[in-house]
Amino acid sequence: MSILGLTLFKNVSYLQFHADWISSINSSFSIRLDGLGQILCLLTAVAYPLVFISTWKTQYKKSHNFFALMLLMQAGLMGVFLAMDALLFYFFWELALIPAYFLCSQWGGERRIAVTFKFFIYTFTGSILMLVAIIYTYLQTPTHSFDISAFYNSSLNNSSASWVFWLMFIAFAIKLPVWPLHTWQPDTYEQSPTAVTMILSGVMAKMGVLGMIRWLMPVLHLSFYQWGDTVSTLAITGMIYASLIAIQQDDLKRLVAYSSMAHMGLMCATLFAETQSGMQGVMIQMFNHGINIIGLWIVIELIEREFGTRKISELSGLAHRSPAMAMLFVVVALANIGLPLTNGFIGEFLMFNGIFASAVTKYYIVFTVLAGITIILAAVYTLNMIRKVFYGETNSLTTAGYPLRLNEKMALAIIVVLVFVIGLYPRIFLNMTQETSEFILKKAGVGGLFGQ
Amino acid sequence: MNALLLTAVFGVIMMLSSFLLTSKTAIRGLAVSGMVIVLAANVLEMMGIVFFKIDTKDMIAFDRFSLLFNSIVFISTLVYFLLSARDMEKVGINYGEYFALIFFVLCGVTLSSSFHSLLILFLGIEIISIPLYILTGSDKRNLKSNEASLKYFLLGAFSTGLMLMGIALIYGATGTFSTNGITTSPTSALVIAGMLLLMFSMAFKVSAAPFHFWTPDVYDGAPTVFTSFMATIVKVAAFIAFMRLFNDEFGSLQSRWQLLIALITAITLFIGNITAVFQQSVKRMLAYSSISQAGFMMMAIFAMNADAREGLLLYSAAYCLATIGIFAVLMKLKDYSFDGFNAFAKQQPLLAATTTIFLLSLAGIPLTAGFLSKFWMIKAVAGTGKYLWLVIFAVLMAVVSVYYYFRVIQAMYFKEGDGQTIEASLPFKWTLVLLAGIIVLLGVFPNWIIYWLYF
Amino acid sequence: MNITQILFWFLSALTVFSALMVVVSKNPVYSVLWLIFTFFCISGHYIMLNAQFLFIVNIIVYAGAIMVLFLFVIMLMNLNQSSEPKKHRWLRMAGVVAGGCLLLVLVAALKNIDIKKQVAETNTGDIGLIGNLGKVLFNQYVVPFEISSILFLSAMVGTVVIGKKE
Repeated sequence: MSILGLTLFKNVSYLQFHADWISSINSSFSIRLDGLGQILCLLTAVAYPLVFISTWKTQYKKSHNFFALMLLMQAGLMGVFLAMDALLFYFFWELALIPAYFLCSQWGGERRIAVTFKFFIYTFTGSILMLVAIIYTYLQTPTHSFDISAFYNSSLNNSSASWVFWLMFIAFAIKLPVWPLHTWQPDTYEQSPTAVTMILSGVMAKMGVLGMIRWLMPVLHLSFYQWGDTVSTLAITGMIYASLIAIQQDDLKRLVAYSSMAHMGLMCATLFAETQSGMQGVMIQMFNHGINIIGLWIVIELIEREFGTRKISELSGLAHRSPAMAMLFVVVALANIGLPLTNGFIGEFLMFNGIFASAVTKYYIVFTVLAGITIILAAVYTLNMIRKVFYGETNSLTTAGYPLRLNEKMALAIIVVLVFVIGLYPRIFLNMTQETSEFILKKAGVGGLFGQ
Repeated sequence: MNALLLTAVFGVIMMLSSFLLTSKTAIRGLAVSGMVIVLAANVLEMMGIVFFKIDTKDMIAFDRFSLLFNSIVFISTLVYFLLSARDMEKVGINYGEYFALIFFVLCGVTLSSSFHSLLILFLGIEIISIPLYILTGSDKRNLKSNEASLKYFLLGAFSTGLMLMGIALIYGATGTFSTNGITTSPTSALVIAGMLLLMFSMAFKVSAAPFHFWTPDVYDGAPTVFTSFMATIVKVAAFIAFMRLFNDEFGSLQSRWQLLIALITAITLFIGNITAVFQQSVKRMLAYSSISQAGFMMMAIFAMNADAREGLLLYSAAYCLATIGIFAVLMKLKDYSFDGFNAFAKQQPLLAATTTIFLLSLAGIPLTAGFLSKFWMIKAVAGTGKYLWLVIFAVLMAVVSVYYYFRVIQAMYFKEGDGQTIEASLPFKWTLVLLAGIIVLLGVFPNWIIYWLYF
Repeated sequence: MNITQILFWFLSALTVFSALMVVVSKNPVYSVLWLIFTFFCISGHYIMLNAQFLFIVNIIVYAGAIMVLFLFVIMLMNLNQSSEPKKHRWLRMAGVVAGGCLLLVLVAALKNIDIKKQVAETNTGDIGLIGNLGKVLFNQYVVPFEISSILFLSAMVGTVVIGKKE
């Protein structure tokens, strides 16, 4: 808990730390907190207490190992968000992955070993390809340094930049996940212990977005522009695909997993539109999505625990006996599909605005329309799920009802408060992200190219 | 020079000790202290203090690279003695002789890491090989051990023949044994033929495909305690010799051999990793894993630049220490199959944790020495700017390797089972923990090794 | 063409022929006998190079000691037509392919290179004389000479390990 306090404290001001690490190859231990890092560290710092509070009563075998690994993962995540040195970034990237592997394999569901292994192989493949890309870019930097400022100046020619771009993109796309690299995701979210799933979907998936914003867009800006349409098409295909599957799902966990995939796809597509409002929208939405999805997981976890099932078809009428839970859940779910007044609306509005205003693609209207369809689909499956699970007649399973425990109430209440605070007063976050997104867009050269 | 003479002297001392000393503990103590002395003498030489000044007529050159490598090898051997010397008792009655042979091998290692003449290379490789044939067959009542020894001897003798032929051709073309580099131009047919023959025989010694067929059988058949030694220290020594040879003598012909080495590297990575996936015995899996790791080390030979030299040293340290550790744990088990590791973490949490670190290091996960050594290799090859497909192929193969290394971790932590009861003494455990600590520290501060190369 | 050259060509032809016979002979004992003959031919070349020491050593060590060992082993194993293991056809093919690959690599490496006319120095050099050889061995090559003693020592220790009764 003291670590959590410390991480909260860290967000107070811009911090920098720089120390020599492997001097012979010009790699240094260099971390800096910019707007992007700030928002994601805030997310991590909020997410961890939420996760621990909401699963306060859960008993784990060998709980000391569990919490040690969770905190180790947190260290990795924080490192990824802060690292300003490519090699350090890679180190933390893996440091976040290894504890996740052990957590899921040790405390997960029935098919955990195979599923987690698939997850691990997927992400490890991605990350090691990213390593090749990092090394290649490093060799093309004028000063032979892993520092991010050196990476901005790397002199890659067009063809090599293209494949370096794809090597890196694959790593980030696997984390998001972007279709068609998503097949690990529903299984892993389903089989992992819920506390870990919360972190995986709420925080870890953001590593991919961060990677794209910080390491892809400004460094390989030409390829980023060149392949933007291809990637956006992939992302939007994935959104529609995931939404359609989510409609068919009977399993609550898988439903949320696919909806998460759809939301992350929107972020990816928006990034490749390269606009100021879109970029800020993505940053804010990362935070929103993080806390919203944790809220959803909390409720699903307790439904599963109390009623012994995650099947939508077996649940019905929960709202009658546990109105508090129903109310909080509905708020979070509506925030997740972006209803006005909630935080999701702010993020999604900015993102759609960003895609529509995009100057780098000819197909912005198509993209906006298709992405808009997925919002409708999201409303379909979310409302459908709420209707089936919470309303209607109570059945034999749900007659007992379930009053929320204090810790669960607390966690959900915090989330709901955050939902409304950001939904009504997004200025704090807008200010926080403005400078960084301007800086990155400038590096990406959009302004210069199109005279904005 | 210190180490060269002292290893030979200790070889003789250990040989005599086998009939002068009756207690096995005394023999073991003597061997360990001998190793410490050799290591200390070598470190002193790195600092410029040489005990014996011998005019070698420019046939042996102890430079920083070779001295540093020797230190790595001696540290690894010391660790190996501390962890596994007790297990040698089970092999046979010639306890002292086994140590004597190992010291002789180390003498060969010093030679092959610092030769400056093809003659010394040949002697070094032979001094390494002949004791190994014996050690492989030292479990005399075991038919598999006998078979392995004979196989190793016949194939090894054949590759030595190739090497001699190569040396003779090179001598015929240049008129000298010393490895100052081929300068004659245009390159004569004799040089090319000799170079190829040397390349093939060295590829055999490092068990690079397609010259690897002996490796699984020999490593599997040999007593495990000696497999551990062969698969680590001897293998990296052969790599250093390979590197020196192709750097000093054939460096100017790099464009001629680079494609061939790249192909050998790719085939080695492919065969080693893919075959390892299908193994049921951990010992045999480690044999194939040693082939796949050899594939990674071949990348240093391919690149042959400053990064490659640094990388090969790091790789030697990382690979030797991790593999010695795994073998030390493996030797304590009765069942060598993957299932033998089931629920090992419940039985021996400390040993399981250290084994996990060793396996993570072999798989090349960050924060371990194994990652940085693979990193250096990739950097070296990427730095040549050619054959980038090799890098991509290598990292994909590294992903494959994760599969079989993690199978052991899965068995240890996540599978149910009775778990084998093994006895592990407290010093044994602490040595393993120390070893794991070194691997992690090297994974964070590789400068500790690389620093020594330049200052 | 003087007498030395005639002798050289004659000996060379004989060497190649007998070496081929070693491989071609069906009976292993004949093979060994042909091998002895090959060694004698090579020793003849040493004489022509004015290397008496090598000539003697070659005859004593190779044609003498080692070949006796060979013969001994072959006779002990009692090899003949019936006990010869049948090799699978595919195995033979694999051997041909593997050997062919080596040949291919060597030929590919050599194809662009012109072989310079290098002539053996017959009947002129004096490096092979025993006195000169000794001087070179104990001056220039004393280090490898001493180091080879380690090789022999390790081989001896090995022999003891393998041979000693338990």
